[in-house]
Amino acid sequence: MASLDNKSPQEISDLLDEYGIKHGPVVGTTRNLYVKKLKEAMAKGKKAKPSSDKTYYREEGKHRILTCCFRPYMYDTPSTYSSNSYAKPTPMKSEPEKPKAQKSSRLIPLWLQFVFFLALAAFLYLVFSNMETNEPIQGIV
Amino acid sequence: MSTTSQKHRNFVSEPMADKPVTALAGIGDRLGHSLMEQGYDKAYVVLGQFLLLRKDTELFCYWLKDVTAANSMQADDCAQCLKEWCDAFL
Repeated sequence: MASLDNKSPQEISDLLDEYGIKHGPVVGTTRNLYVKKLKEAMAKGKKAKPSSDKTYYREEGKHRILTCCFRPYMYDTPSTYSSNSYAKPTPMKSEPEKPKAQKSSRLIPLWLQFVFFLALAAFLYLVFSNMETNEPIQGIV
Repeated sequence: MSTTSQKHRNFVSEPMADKPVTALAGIGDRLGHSLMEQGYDKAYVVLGQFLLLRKDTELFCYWLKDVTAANSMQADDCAQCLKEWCDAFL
């Protein structure tokens, strides 16, 4: 990584855009701040450095966090990050969308909730029908 | 709704004119002195910096903590003060 101090304001501005950092003009008083922000962003994770695969890498970065439970072995090969992503473009893209959609908001699956509800309704019906057949209803007394 | 100090209310109630930098909420004597040493002697100069950062309070807090010994609360107070002033007068 070339030293950020040697870059022109335009280059700093482009880098900020690549890392998705909102920024104003890169002038004397703001340059220091933006350079620090860039260093932080670079240290956190190398996301979206090449501009051609910018959007694709951003999705990968996000989904990598989500799919960390499913694919722990991915973290063992940071050096082959780029080769992995090139080798498996489509499965990585389609897979993260499915678990994300399924596990979006439910701890208990929907079908299980329905089954439980039906079982509860059947139980209550049985109880109620048993109450009826014992004695005719003549009031509380 | 966070409670605002009297200093904040005083600042956002009128155009800042030539008020010193210590008139900003969150900026006391120590921070004011630190800012003045760096050339930010008037509130409008700090406003200029705030505007350069596109009125982004997060970036401004980051900047203020970087150039002075401001803590998060002081920086936040100052940023909110400037933001409200801009909303009213800019």
